Amino acid sequence: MHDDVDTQKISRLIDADLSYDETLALLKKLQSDVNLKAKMCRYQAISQTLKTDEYYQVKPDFSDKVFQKIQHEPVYFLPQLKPQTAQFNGRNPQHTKKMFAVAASTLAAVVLVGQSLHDGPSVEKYQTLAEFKAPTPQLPTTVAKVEKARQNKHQPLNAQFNDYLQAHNSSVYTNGEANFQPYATVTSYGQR
Amino acid sequence: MIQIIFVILLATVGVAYSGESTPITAKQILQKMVRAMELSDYQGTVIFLKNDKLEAMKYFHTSSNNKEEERLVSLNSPMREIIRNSDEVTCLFKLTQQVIVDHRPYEHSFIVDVPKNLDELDASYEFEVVGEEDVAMIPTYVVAIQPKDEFRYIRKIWVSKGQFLPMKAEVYNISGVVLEQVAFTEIQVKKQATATAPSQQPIGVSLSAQGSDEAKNQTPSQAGFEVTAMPRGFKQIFFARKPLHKSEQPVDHLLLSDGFASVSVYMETKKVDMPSNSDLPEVIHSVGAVNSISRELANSQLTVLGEVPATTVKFIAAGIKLRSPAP
Repeated sequence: MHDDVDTQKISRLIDADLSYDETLALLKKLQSDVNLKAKMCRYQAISQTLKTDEYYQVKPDFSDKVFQKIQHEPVYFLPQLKPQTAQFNGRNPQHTKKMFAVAASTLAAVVLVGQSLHDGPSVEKYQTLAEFKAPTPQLPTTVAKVEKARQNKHQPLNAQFNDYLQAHNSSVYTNGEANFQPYATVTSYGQR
Repeated sequence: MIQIIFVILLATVGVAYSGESTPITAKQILQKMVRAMELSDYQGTVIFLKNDKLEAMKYFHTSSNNKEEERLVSLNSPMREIIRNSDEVTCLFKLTQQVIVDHRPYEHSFIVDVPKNLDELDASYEFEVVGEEDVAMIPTYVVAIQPKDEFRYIRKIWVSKGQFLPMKAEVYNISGVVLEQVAFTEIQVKKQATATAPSQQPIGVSLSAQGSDEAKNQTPSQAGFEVTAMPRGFKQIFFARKPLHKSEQPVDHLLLSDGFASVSVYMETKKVDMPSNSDLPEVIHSVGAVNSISRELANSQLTVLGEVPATTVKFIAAGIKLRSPAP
């Protein structure tokens, strides 16, 4: 039961859908749970491969360097351009940015650790940060199917949003991104 | 005697002077603008700035026999022509010859929609002339439309001094960041609105439903839901139940407006392939000035979307309930 919950949380973290508190709790748990780290690594690899068809290997000290940079990062008290969008669950935006940076670096670290745990190719064989086609992950097909299904679900959502936007008002026609393909109220094709 | 005559002369000049110098109010400017937009024939080049994308279009407006026609022709790809004829908006994509026809009884201008009766908006907005500037080398009044609460955006309209036509309009968020802009880069007025023109059917954004018979037959009471809480000044102005997607499944669409800002509420039966509530948390999606929120309501999916701050769609969505079936 707990495994299922954690799996869902990992999936949501990768999709950036996890709330602040849940993210923090999950990251803490990841630090102590090796199995969970490995699972995170697998999910991250699947997600990246499905999204980009590519897999990037980062240097082992990448996350450490990010961490150190964050520690020395000054806090700027500049006005926020869009404070209402910068807010994340009512938290301090600076804090949120730092948290995401920490999460990103932790993810990268987890990927590295996870890869080293598996009997995959050695580190020397990886290309660093460039045009490396990921090998087909040796994972249960159900995991990959779940990830694919999640992605497919987002497609109708975008189409649905466009439909709603078009029904709302005519501004969609004067939008610079007017290469949409509306589905509703199409009356005729191929007029001469 | 001379002193009395001097005093009378002084008073007369004073009265005359004060009469001439009474500044025109923001509401008067906007009312003149609405009238000029209805009755003038004018054309020019307009730029639309939305979602950080710039779109330049040729604009034509004609008015005859109490009928208006607006036409926009894109200058850049995708090449298209958009025509508003009374309640109908038609968009023709020239490359594919695809034609889209929409019924929009609640809109009246591609440039800026301003309600005819501005007094109805006193509870929600303040109107003020905040300056005078040139737009496309034409002197204009700058009218600021400042909301009295956090449920709507700030607007500014630049109205030409001579013809009282809208030369530029901007929408800002609460922090003053420009979200949308529309502006003429050049304009030619072919026929100017005259003061003696016959009175017309009000065509600003009316706060009552109007349109075709089909639209009139559909009232908000037919919706499968009811909106129990709206920000002050918002009213239900249009309802339609029609298919919106590829399928024939009808979608309930209720439009709310406070005169300037508009919000659409959509409800449709949840499909099998739609994400479950756990996959689709109640989050705000923002695209430029548009904010939307989706949530499940029994077996239906509810979406509230509009060119309003996120607070507004959240507030309206929270107050929507399924309508109890009639006994």
